[in-house]
Amino acid sequence: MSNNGRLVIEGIAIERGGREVVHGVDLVAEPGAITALLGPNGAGKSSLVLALAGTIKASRGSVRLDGADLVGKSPTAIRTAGIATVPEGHRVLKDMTVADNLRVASLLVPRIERPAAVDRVESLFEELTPLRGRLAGSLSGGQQQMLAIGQALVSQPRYLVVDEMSLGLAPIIVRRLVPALRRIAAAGVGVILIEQFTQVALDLASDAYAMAQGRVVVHAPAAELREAPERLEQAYRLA
Amino acid sequence: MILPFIVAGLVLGSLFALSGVGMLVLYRTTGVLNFGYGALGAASAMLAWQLVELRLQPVLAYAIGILAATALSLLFGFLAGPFLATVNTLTKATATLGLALFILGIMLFMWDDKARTLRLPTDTIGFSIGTRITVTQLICLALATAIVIATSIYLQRSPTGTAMRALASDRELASMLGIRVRRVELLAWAVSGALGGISGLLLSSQTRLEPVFLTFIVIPVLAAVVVGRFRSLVGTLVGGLVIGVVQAVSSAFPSTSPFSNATPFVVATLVILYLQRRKVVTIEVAR
Amino acid sequence: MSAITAKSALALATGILLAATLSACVADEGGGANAGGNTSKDELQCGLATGEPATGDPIKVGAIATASGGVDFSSAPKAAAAYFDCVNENGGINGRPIDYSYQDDALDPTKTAQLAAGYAADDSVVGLVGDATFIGCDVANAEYAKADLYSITGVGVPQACFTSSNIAPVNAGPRQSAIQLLQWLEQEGKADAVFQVGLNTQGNGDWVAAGILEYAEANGINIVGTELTDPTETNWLPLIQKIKDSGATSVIIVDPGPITAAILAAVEQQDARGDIIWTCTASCYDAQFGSQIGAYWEGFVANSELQLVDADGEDNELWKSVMDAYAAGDAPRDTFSQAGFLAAKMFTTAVLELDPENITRESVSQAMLGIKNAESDLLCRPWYYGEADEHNANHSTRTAEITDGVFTKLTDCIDSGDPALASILENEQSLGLVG
Ligand SMILES: Nc1ncnc2c1ncn2[C@@H]1O[C@H](COP(=O)(O)OP(=O)(O)OP(=O)(O)O)[C@@H](O)[C@H]1O
Ligand SMILES: [Mg+2]
Repeated sequence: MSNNGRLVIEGIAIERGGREVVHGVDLVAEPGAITALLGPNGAGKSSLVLALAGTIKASRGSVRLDGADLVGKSPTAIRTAGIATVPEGHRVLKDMTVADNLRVASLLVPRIERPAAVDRVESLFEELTPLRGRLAGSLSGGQQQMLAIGQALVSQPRYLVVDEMSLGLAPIIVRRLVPALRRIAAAGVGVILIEQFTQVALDLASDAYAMAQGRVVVHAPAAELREAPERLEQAYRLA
Repeated sequence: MILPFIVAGLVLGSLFALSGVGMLVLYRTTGVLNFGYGALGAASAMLAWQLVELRLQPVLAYAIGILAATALSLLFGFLAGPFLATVNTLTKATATLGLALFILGIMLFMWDDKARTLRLPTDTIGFSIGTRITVTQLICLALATAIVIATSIYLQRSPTGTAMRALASDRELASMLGIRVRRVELLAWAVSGALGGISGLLLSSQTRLEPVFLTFIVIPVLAAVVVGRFRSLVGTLVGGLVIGVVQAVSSAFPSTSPFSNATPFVVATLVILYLQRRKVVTIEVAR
Repeated sequence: MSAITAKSALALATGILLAATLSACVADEGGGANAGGNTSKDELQCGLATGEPATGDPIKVGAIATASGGVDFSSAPKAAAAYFDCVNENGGINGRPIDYSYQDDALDPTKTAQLAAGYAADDSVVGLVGDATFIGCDVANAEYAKADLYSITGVGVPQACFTSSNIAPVNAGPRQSAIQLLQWLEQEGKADAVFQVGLNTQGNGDWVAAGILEYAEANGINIVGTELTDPTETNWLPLIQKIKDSGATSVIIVDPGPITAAILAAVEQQDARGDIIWTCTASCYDAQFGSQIGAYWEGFVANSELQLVDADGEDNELWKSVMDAYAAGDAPRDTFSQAGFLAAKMFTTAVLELDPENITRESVSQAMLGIKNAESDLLCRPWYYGEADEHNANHSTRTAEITDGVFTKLTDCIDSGDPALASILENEQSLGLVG
């Protein structure tokens, strides 16, 4: 059963600290498209991202890509299956150089393809090239976010999950990242974008979900929500 | 005549550094500060001695000793690793005391308290430059330095070395980036076990071939790691050499010799105090 | 690296460890190969030598030995156990077997005191034989004295083992061993400038060092240096420097074998043997020592507190054959083993004199105290117990030197000239304990 290369999340529930914080979420992401995931603080978006990455384990539900269920698989296996995650907070390997950060991410790729994979990322984020020798911890937040997204892209994923892409970054940086994400999606990668700036997310996305209190409360084409942003506020309040 | 003391201090110090590098590689990769490190080296040396007594080809005996230390370390990492990954640094370190006592217990069961020496053919070849230096000492010094440098290069250049550094930097992120955490950790247990085995052999030839003694050699080694601030290989090398030389040279003068054995503590304490002054300390923070 | 999976790593690690353990075990069997005895099991002359197993009421005998904690003296009680087994196979104590066992004090004086109190409180224990302890003679003796319990100790090391009312060691102790090395040097005309090396331990290293100084002073010998080191010392350069600077003609080392071996290795490393005569006390008289210190030390001299293990003689032969027949193959055949054996043999001889129906702690204590003039080719002079506050019956020892990697006889018995033995010698005469 192929699903046409879609990433299908069904009935995912997650417990954290002994308490269920995500209660059965369904979400479908399409290849080559950007899917926005919105929601207020504590809605459970990051928990869902970590479960997708395999860092925490979902207590029920399934995540299917080409028919294989990825729930319970190791982070490495999930990465190999083609899902790359950028956790929130533009996290990078701080005491390693930019070049090493990319090299670490390239270890999943067959040895001979590694330099080319790194080059591809550097051509997407040209700003990183002169910073190769710098420690990642000394970069600005925007540079770190580029590096983090770059790391995710090195292994040529089919799906890219970015948590809080613009949180804490200057608007000028966000303006730089937006076209980059478009290019990534245009190249056929399915993107799940978690954003606090609803506007940014809805401009980019074709499909949008909103979560509140561990549940999906809205699922609609992004264009519809762009026209009627108040629908989101209402849904949050109801939940 | 201070030269013999400096030479002996350099030799011993380089061996502390070699052990320290092994401890550091493991600590950085897995967060485990292995107090059983001296015992691993002791096991390697005792086993090698036993095999040489059995008339096994010495080189083969040393290789088996090193392999055994590697295997012991790997086995402990395999069995205890999943548990160790879930507990804090202090509990991790405490668990390795169990490893130390276990290995020590087996050694005391297998070998009595008689005099033993690990004699190398190179012990008898030497030359004089104001003091006598044997080829064994040169080998110790050269091997320790070479291995420290090789380990640095390995961590810097090789894919698995890079993966180890990534784990040391941010475990969770490294695993999200696709690093096979468990495999890299086991590799670190193996590499550190091998380094422990090599330094155990060399230390036993330069100090005493006794299980208890070699088990406790972990203390100056730990001091060298402290000097390296739990992160720097070069710092650990320098730390080992400084401790070795200060200890030896201070033993040369009647006024300081009663305190020479306290050198590891003194050096480690000074380094900790200095770092506190700059507010960059503690094991937890360094990780 | 991609070839290693966690499982295969585990399998590999386990395999290597198994192979390594196996190889070491094989070595253990071969390693204990010492001069064996020539008497077959059914011809051994133990106790009554009847050839009939003893089946009566067992007689309980105990011992305390330091078997773990970094020191292993258990070869003494192991040899005592072997001899008692042999006695039990040969009519026992007039038909009653000896039920012998020893307990390990793990180099912990608190434990020694506990074990001693345990034996003292257990009335069924009639005596202690073949003890071998590195510590705790003082605390043990306090318990024994209260309970009228006596020990024929195999091996005692610290001073307290030789200044106790209820403990009498078969060995001579490190102080006699050291002084007799000095006497040998004196005889050889090599005692012009003597340097002594030992341990900085209370009631042991200091006691031995004082013995050397006292003898030297009484006999006009020049001790050019005394260096007592910490048991954990590793840096021997200062010591070697001091020995060189002192102009010593001979050196007496009173350290445990492993430390002595480390010192000798450092001396070899510096090629500092020179014309100095290097000697050590009985702690390094051990079958393996010569091969461990290597060819550089050909001619190295050690004292031996009992007969050399490879010598002929009735008791030495019996000891070796009893060990072959009744002890584990890897039980050491060393001086301590001889001492444990001899303690058991003298105990058996004494208790055989008693009425088998009346073997109590009281009667056994009397029999033990009554031992005198006990001759053996393992000793230089007769051994005795006797009522006294100090016991050091063995104060005459032999000297050995390394030839082709093994210890061979250098001199026969030398009687100790330790000035502190005066009261013991006086007692021997006045109470008729020897001769
Ligand atoms: N490590 C943790 N242990 C226990 N509970 C946690 C943990 N992390 C988050 N939670 C809880 O899980 C719930 C969902 O949090 P999560 O971080 O997934 O939400 P979010 O939608 O990403 O919010 P935000 O917009 O603040 O990032 C919250 O109630 C939070 O308190
Ligand atoms: Mg979040």
